[in-house]
Amino acid sequence: MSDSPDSAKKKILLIDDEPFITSLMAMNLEDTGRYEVREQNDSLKALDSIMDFVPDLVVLDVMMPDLDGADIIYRLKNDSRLKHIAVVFHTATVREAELHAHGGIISGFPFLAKPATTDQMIEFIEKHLPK
Amino acid sequence: MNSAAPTDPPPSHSPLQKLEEGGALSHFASSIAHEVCNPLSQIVLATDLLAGPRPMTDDLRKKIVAYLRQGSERIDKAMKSMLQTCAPIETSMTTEDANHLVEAALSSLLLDGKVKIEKHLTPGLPTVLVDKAHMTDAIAGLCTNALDAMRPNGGTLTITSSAKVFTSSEREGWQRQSWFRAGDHAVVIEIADTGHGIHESQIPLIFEPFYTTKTAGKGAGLGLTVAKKIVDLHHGRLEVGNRPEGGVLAVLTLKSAIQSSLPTDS
Repeated sequence: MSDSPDSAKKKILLIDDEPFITSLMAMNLEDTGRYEVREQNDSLKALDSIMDFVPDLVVLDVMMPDLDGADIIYRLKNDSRLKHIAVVFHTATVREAELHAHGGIISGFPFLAKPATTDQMIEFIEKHLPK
Repeated sequence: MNSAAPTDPPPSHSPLQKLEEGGALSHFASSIAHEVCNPLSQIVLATDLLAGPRPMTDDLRKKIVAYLRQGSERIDKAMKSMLQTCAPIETSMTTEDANHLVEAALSSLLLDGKVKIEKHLTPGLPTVLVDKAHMTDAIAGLCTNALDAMRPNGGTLTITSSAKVFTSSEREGWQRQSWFRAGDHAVVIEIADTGHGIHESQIPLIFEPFYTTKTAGKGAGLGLTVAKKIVDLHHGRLEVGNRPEGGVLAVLTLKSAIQSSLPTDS
């Protein structure tokens, strides 16, 4: 693990109602030394977390109680303070074959199917991080 | 007017055919994927952590074991629930006192101190012809749903039993596929909670397999599906809706084993 200086680290916010998944993803991503990661498991607090942390990229689940991924993206894209933030979806609701047929993009957003390995997640994040 | 009450069971279809007819197969498949792929994701990521550069401590080892164990248990539970939902149910019917079924269901619940149980069971109810184990499971499933809806703050679960005789006008208000006819004697079991209720738009979905409002890992969303399947098998009726005062009311109506000789509208 080769740590980048904190200022060079990309900020990733994981929004998923599965705390075990976000906790594991956060540890695996942080172990690369390239990312500063925060987790949010309560969809109702998702927008506050985005506002607070101002991430370079949000990794968003789709099926969550209260607010689902579509609700959150709708609110985010309609908020002038947040709409520039890059968002990718990480979900169990799509299959790899289905994604492949759509070039990994559904409704204009990049999707990664669960389960994905940490290497696949890193490749996905790097591809969609704003340059 | 002729009654629309059927006299024969509906044509038999496989569970998958029934889902396809209702347009619910894709929802079912996507729900299975959700229930399996999330814990699978957990297992994959825990394995990556194990193989990664992070120094292994006792605390980390315990965490990884918990992640792996919880993930595999969730997959196991999801698969068993799915098989239970799709498998045909074999029944062995006996004449039972509905209050005994309620008591058996209540005794099987895992209760914490935050929930108060209120029972209003009418003595001397007419007996019902049921598969005792399955119907007890159905009642327990409805009670478990009610308990889950009241977590974590707790509340009151009220279970009531009563007898009723269907009148002609009452019958007309029911769905066409109802098995009840005017003059039928029935037993009604009501299960009420003081939880958060169900969003009105979600009520049509509650009997669909894997539909759930519970947070991740707290239930696969099959309790009501299985309860409905059992009740349908007994030609009973299960209705679930919001109470005006808050919380959910589930009403289970079972035909009495001994029917009246009153003339019916069929």
